[in-house]
Amino acid sequence: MDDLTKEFIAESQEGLDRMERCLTELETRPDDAELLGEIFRAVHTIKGTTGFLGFDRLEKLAHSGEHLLGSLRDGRLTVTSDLISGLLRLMDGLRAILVLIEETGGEGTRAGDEDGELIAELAELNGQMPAEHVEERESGLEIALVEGTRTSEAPVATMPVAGAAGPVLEKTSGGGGDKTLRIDVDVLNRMMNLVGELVLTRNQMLQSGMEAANFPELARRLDSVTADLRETVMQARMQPVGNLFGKFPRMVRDLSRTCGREVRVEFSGQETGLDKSLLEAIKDPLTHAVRNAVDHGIESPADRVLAGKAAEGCLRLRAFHESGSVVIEVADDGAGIPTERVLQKAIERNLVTAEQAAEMSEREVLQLIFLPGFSTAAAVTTVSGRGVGMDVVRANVEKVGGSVELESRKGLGTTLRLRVPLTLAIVPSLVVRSGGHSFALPQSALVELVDIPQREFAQVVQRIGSSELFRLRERLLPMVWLDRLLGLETESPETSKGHYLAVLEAEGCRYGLVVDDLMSPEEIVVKPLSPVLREIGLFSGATVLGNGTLALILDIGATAARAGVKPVEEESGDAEASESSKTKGAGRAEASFLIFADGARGRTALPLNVVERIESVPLSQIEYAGGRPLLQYRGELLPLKDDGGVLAELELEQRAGEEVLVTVLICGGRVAGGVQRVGMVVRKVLDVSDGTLLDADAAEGMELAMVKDRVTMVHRESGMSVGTGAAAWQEVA
Amino acid sequence: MRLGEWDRADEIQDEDDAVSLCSLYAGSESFGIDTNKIREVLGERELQRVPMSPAFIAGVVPYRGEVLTTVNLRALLGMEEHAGRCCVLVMEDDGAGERFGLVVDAVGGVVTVSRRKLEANPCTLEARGRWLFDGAYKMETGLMIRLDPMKLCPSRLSETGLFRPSMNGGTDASPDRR
Repeated sequence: MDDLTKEFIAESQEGLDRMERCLTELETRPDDAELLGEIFRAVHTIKGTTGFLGFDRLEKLAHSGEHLLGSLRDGRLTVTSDLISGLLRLMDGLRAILVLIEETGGEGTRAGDEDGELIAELAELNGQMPAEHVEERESGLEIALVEGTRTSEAPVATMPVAGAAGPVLEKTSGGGGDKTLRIDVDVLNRMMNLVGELVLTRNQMLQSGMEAANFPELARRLDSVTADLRETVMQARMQPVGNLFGKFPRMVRDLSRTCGREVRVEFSGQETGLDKSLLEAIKDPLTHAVRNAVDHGIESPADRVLAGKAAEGCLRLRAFHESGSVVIEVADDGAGIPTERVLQKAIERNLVTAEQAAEMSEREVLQLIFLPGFSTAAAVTTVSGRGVGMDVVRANVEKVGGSVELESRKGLGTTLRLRVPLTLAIVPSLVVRSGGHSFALPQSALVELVDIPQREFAQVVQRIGSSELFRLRERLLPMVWLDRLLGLETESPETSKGHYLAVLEAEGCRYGLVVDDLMSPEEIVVKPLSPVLREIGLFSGATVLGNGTLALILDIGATAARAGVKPVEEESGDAEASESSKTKGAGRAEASFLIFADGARGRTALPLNVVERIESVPLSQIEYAGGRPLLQYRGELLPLKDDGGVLAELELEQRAGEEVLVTVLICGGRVAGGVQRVGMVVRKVLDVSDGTLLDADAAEGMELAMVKDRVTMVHRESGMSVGTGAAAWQEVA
Repeated sequence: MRLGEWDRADEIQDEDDAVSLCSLYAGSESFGIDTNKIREVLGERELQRVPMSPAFIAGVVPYRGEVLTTVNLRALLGMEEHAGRCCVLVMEDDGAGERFGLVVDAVGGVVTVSRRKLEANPCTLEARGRWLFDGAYKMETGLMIRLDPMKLCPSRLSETGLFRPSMNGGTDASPDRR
């Protein structure tokens, strides 16, 4: 195929994508001339170019479509549902031919296709206005012509056209578009410049050699060029989520017709960028989620009116950034998930026992939906209810390092949140050692780390039969020994300094992985493994560490499965957690606190759930702007709170040439438009403990709590203060 | 190690007849692989073992931005683990085949031999040998066994099931082992 044709196909497909979006919008805003203009242009461009390239079949179809759209534009026709359906079928027809051209290089005029039917249908739609005699005759002539060439064909009902277009549509989205990517020329130029710089730096390095005085400087330059280059390539791979959203209005329209629903689709955050490969990976889960929302979520118009809601349901698709990942939310305002039906089904399918079911919290019940083979649809419809559902959604999202959350409020609707990392290729992870090997654990699965010194080992590890459990804040956590699981040499208890427990969570399982040592957290570049090693099923890839050695990336979910950790078993553990969080929510009495000392006040605490990380930072890295301390943290500027005057104290203590480390608690608070972080400078972190809030004095910004039988000051949850802090900082800047 | 030392010990009548082999050693035996099928000789490398992998997998090694899986020739031949230095040969990927490394004790050099000196596998050879070996060249110093890299590819080896039974570390990790 020549370049011209290739370009034509890519352009036409883009045009049709636009047309698809506009068409569904047109149905809601039938008088929008701009929309109509856009659609007309798409079809017109195809028609114009095909004539030039010699694709007669395509031209004929596009021509008839253009005709119809022309009448519509001139106001001789009004937008009806049938008309939109007809135009959508026209679009499918055009797409099908484009795919054919792409695959075979020709448009396959000889093949038995139903263009004639489609053209006839379009003409009929066009001919509904009696005033258009001339046009009608013209198109009529055309039909005769087209049908004349295919006399042998029996007339086929128009429905199969739409039916046949289905798989073709899938193919288009699965085929052609994936292999090519449009990149801004500026981005490409920047990449080229960076590659040039990379080559120059390499040349200099090769010439100067290791011993040269400027070697460290060269290494630094290499580092920055590499970082820039990486960022630029990532940027080039980023695609707006809107590309993915674009196909949903059409899908929802078709679905709501088959299911007898009235659904309006709303979008926000289409411009949110996501790595192309990830966009591909979440396409199916998202489609599934949207299908579920229309079929199961939103009720029939009659039911909705009875429930006092508008007959038209609303489906909201939202994409936004949140703490280094992209969240895609599918929310409907339907009936919510009927928990009692879920439970009933779960008992029927032997997923839980009746006794277990009685004790389950609502959140837990919702988790049941993610179990394989679960579907609550009363009847199996063509749309959903075949028992492959949410488990597949979750598995697919977790495969790319993401997670799925489900929220449902009875009578008010269901929200499904897909959380995916920004990019696949580079994963923040923690490198651990076990049995003399290095392994990388993806940070996304890591919940917390517990240090178990050898002498305390016997006390904290508890046994039921042969299985070992770790008691973590009154929850029993199954322990998995990585070295034993992998059949590695185990350290003898005498020489061992103790172990670390990495609390991991994946595919609904939570467990503690016992490793010998923790290495540094590293941003690793994932390299695929050969099929033979993939077959082992425990490693999702390998990576080259900073010291040049290789580390295998542990597949957290598979490891859990291999060790026999089951998600359902885990649910019982979850119950306690949600139980305690429930009481927490109810009276705000019980909570977990992080207790620390900051210069002036001694014992102070923060609610544990606002603390994201604890970092050690060299004092020299803390910068000041307008007298306010700031920290550059993971690409963002973090305002620091130093109420206890720790920084000043440390400044005094610091002697020349010595590096003093500052402990900073990274606290995140939700504010409008995402998460706002602030760093809290503390002297020393003391403990994590449960406590009771005693007195909530809103004016002071501090509260008192009883933690470990001692009265402790508690910083108020930082949401508000963070907001004002950031605002104040912005003024300074 | 360079592949440039031409060793013209054999008399070669005409050019079409000649084939250049890279000689390599495992234990006391010498083997030959067609030089066209070798991409690079890496020399001594530190191999990262992969737990739970089949015994014939020597480990993985970083190679040009990829993670290269290596096959241990000694393990395939049923020999003891080699304590000393070893050498990694990177095989050319033939079309759809995957790229992999072959770990041997040492690499000799390139020898040119006549095709006519190739003798087919003896019929008494056991199954593993029949899979691994591809005849032998009768050299003046003894026999040089020819290896077919395509048959040494890790996924093909695992498909045959001939080299399956024992695993590295020898554990199947059942949950009750905890």
